[in-house]
Amino acid sequence: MASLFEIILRGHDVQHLEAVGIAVGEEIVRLGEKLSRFEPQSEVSRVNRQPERPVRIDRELFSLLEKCEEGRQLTGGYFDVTGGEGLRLDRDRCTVELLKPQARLDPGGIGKGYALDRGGELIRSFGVASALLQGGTSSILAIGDESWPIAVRDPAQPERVVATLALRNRGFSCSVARHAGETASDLRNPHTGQPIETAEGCFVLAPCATEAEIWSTACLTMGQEVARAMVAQQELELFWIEQ
Amino acid sequence: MKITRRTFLETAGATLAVGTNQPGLAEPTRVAVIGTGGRGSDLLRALTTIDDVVVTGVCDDYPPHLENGARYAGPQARQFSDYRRLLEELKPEAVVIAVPLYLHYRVARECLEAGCDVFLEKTMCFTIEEARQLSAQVAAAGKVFQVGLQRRANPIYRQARAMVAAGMIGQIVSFKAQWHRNNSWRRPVPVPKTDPDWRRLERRLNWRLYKDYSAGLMAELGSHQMDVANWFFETHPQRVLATGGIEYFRDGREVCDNVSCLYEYRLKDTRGTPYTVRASYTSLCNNAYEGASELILGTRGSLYLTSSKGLLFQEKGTDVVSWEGGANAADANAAVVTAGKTLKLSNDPWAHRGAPFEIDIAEGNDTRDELVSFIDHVRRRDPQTICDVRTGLLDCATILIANQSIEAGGWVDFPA
Repeated sequence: MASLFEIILRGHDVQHLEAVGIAVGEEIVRLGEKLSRFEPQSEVSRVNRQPERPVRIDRELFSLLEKCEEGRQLTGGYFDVTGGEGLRLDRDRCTVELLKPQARLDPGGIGKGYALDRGGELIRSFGVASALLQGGTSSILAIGDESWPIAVRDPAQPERVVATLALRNRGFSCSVARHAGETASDLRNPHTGQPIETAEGCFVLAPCATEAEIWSTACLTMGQEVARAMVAQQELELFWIEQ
Repeated sequence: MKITRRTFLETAGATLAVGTNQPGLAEPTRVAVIGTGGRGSDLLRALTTIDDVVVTGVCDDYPPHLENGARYAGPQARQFSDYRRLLEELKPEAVVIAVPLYLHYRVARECLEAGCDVFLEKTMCFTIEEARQLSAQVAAAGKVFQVGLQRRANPIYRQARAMVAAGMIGQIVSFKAQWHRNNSWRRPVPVPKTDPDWRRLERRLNWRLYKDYSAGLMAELGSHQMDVANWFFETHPQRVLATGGIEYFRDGREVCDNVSCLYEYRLKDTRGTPYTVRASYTSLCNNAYEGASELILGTRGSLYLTSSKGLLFQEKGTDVVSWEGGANAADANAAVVTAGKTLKLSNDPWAHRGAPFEIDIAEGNDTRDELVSFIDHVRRRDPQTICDVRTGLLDCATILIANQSIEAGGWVDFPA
């Protein structure tokens, strides 16, 4: 995932919190190595090297791809881990098949959120009641009843804060079409294969970080109008950063 | 400049024998996993991605680890808290064992007695005596047996070893390895310290920190890296001088939080004359500089190795490798001398060697690959695994004599 992650844990037993922090950090690194499409040693790369044939994968990756598939259906195809090329999952054999020779898995639009949620599960299982995790400053998970103040910066003018919110027991994800200085977006519309043209950004609050990330990616790709209509049917909050 | 695996290995003949069976054609191999903590889960997940393997059972005496194991293994796998019951009821063809070190011998021995092929995590045994006995039992049982020293399955290391054997770094001069990290090496405990169960759970989960169960940093980390020396040098060390202590994490642990070792190996030069190579090893828990790597130094070059990177630095004036441009490519930082005047002097100690050659990162993951290889040997009934019981025994003794030296002070000879 090549991003900096931060783990803030609240409690009294420093030795315990440090041990939990190490465990969460190791889990995030493990998932990053597994889901990277750039590392030749990753599971995702192993799948990507074998398009057009069923590849046996472990249950962890399989259930993540099922989540992606669910996300694709819910977002009308605007979130697509294959960029619109398609995949087939076989639950009994625990295999994934990329349907076209050029198809590749790219979990970039979900990996950080998924890693944060896995970290969150560990944190809860070790009895830490209040925590904030962030990855790449675009994905956040707040755990517990405490509110964490979050400032959202304008992607085009990073010194300008466009919103401040109090995040409590929610996942957050921010997607921008392009960062300051970039002329074209690396986000593509899975239906057309073309880079999206807008210079806007959006952020989504959801029950977990994985869902927030699926939706922030999809919403930006589908555009504000369609996004607002779709999000109205979900347990989500959507904010648009207009230029 | 990249040395491609394909071109090199064709000549070096060091390809990993894997995947000779056509998937889907044969009955799947029935495998059980005993110990589903951190490492056991890594192995279990990798196992479930291999064609023609079915995980029939998982076992752990700590319920949360067993729960994780069951989730990774899938619904076809039965769950056990006692490995003896698993062996009795499932009669697996092969087992993968990843239990705390002090249990390695007992569990591995009983699995062999139950007729299983065995994959046993490193370090092979808790004592040299146990390792010797296990060696004898594997030989008598005629079973497929492999120790989990996964660098043996890593294409970078396999290629590097072939390069050393082919003389590409000249005569071996020295070896230097370290595994440096900066954290407490402590696993969290799921109940607060006030809970009556905390003490028991803490020792169970942090078994690596207590001498009744663990041989510390040398066994958990050093075993991988000193095995590289044993493997590349094709021999074991003659003796070791080691020291270590608990200097920083004074939190009740019993194993060292830092160790430093000096090993002596007896090698032979090209004329067959014996000479000594000194190998140094350190492991730290409170400084991560240099991380985990091994450096093999030869008269003509140096190999820097990690699980995902392999670099060959040539000594100045050598022309070992005749790839185009390689030997002549001047490093931008190197000292340039014109008309007796130094124009630029680098403070990089490696600059004079020029840009290194990089071993082409091969595809694959060594944890998965070591299991692919093991399963392949099981299916072919081939006991010559990539890390057999003799390798495990030598590695085990290499590691444990360092701990003996730390305890007793002074040089400790490799056991006869």
